[in-house]
Amino acid sequence: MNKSQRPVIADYYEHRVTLEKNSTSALQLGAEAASSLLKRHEIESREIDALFTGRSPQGYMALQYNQVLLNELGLQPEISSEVTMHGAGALGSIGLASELIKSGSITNALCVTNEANALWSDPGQANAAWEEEPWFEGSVRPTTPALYGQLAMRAVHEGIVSRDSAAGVAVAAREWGRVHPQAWAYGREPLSKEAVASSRIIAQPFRLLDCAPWYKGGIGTAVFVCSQQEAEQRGVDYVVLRGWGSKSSYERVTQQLNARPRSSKRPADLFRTGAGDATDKALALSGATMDNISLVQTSAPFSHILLLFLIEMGVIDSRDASEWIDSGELGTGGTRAVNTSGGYLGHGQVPQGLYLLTETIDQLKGKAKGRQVDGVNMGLVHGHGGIAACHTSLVLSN
Amino acid sequence: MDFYDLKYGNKSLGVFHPEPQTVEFWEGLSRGTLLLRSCSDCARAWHPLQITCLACRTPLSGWVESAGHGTVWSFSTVEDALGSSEPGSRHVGIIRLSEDVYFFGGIDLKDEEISIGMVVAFSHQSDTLKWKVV
Repeated sequence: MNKSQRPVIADYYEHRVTLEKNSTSALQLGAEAASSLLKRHEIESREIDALFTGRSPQGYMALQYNQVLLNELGLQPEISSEVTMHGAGALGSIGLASELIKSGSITNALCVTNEANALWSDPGQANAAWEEEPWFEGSVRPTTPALYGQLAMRAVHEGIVSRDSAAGVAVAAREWGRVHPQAWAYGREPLSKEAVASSRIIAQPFRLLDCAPWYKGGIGTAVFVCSQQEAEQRGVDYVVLRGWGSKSSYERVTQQLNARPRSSKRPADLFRTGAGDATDKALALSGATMDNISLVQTSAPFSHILLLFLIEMGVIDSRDASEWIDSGELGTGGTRAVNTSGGYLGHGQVPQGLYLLTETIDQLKGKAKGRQVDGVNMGLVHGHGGIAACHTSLVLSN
Repeated sequence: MDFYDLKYGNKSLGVFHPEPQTVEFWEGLSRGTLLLRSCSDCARAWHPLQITCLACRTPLSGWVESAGHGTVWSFSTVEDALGSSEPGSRHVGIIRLSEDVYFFGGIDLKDEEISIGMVVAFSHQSDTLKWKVV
């Protein structure tokens, strides 16, 4: 591919605050991250061709959030948009930027995602109000875990995942989180499957330690996507954006079941969420297969759901999951590194958390201090949103 | 018809009323009747939120009364410590009706232990979507 149309991620800037600095808005986080990135590379406002954001942050709800940010940054791009596929829009914004670079219509894009909901509200209470349909679901007041629990209980019932394997996923997430200095699990005790199994029920089948904690703060991430030619001209150490895929399957959990063709002999299920389709597309566009992937990052707030995604994405086979997990493949000694930042379970969940992407970039650049995986040359990062409804996957290489 | 006050923490995000196409459903529910959308062209039954038939793309205008029973397709629990104002656990689940339409709702139990595949019937006791074991 021509270097002028080959998309790369030139650099990112991540701005984090913790609960102690609780006067920061999501907009501030995003604006400061973007400004810092532009300043670092001496990029003038007029040089930005496109600005994309994930959906409006829960901690700063605004229509046309991209316009609010654009206004703050003083940008006048050729094209700008929110990419609103729930949390999958965060990675989707980068995928969209890459398509425009490949087409030749732009040479660069600033992609910004930010969230600070934990600073301004109790997301454990508030989140379900955003995820549920207000009347047919909201009238019986489910929690977010109880909505995801529908998938997980059925998956346990059908033997796709087991509670024991899910507990093993939580143990591995703690292992990785313990070695990431900004993760929730950093410095905490190692976890055992027994501890997971004896923690209190949150929403069947999830026990407390099957669930991701909310990240106690906010994160704003700005990513500069550009052509390889521009990255080389700017003299930056880039990673190549080889391919991406996206899939949006439904909005309400029952819709996946109701919308299926009833003439089909295929039994109804909620397990073809789109994570697999998005990943297949990203791999196909990359000219790669899962065998080429040495690093996987995936977003899932519950251990059973993380396992379901890994199965759907083809990272592991459902039949081998128990043995694979028990042999430590998901942990720091595994042959294919998974969620090396701890993922949502070990790092703490931030909606639209781009730290899965920045961790992938750090690993590919050999800069993941204290947790660097040897020989990483191609990474897959997956983000999702809604109740497992929308998905985006990117394949990156160094 | 009640309105629904969407909350974000302690703040109200606005008062919502049901989607216009579902008003007849909620009125039926208050009379103890479970109504489904029915396609005038291909006769398929649909969830009340559905606006057009996904099989033949005909706008849905008719209603058909459901037999009101089905099975638990999946379920989970809502614990009081996670934001509910009610003490103890509540069950919420996906019910597969005999008409092959899936509903989300609350599941009322007495002494039974809930399980997938359990036969349930629409509960006439409230104007929210609740199911009871039969």
